[in-house]
Amino acid sequence: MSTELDKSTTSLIEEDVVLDTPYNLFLWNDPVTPMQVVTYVLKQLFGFSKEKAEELMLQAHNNGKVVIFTGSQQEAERYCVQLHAKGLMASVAKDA
Amino acid sequence: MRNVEIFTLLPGGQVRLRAQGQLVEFVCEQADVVEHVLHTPSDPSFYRLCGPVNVEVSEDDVFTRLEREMTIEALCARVRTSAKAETLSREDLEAWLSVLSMALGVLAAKLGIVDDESRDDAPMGAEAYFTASNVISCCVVEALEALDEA
Repeated sequence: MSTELDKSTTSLIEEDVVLDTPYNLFLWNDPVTPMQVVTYVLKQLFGFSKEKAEELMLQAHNNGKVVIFTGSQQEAERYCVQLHAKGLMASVAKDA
Repeated sequence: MRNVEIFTLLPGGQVRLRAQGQLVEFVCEQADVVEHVLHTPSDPSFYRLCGPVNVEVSEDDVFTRLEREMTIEALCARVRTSAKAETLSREDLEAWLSVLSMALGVLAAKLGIVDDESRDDAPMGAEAYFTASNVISCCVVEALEALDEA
């Protein structure tokens, strides 16, 4: 009995760990969209200051991509869909 | 009232389009391009518009796909209607920005533009298109920022 309980507890804990795994939302460099547009979208969607939005936009521009959000899979995917609808290149991946 | 390039800001969070004609035509064409690609999975730029959200899966779930389709269709419809309207709201401008950026991305994907280097190799006509689209997009952003300040 005790062993069975331990097993189910372990299983629940493992499930929680999986569910809590953070997901990263990546913004990819886009050679055609104006920087001003990217900065504006980041400000609007995430509530970043102009300085923070510009910094992230430049990181994506210079490094090819940047993590702009880390959180639950659902939240990251919701933001990603919103970025796509703004014409920006973004994707979600499990935090390594 | 304050003038922002192609728009005139009006009281009450509205703007009026100062330039008409070709601009309206251009913006409506972008909506047509986006909607065409949205409904043409065989188009080479379909993935740019409708690629999966999660890189670990080959395609999004049905709910996400439907949500995306409905969102994009609504944006395109709003652009077509507002381009011919007397005044535009903040939501109309947001739709313009979305559609212009999506159309830009679609064309870039068609031309295989993935970085600054490949953009430099784009045909002259494409560069003229990028410039026109970028100018309008930046005017839209300026108008939206001006509305925020007002």
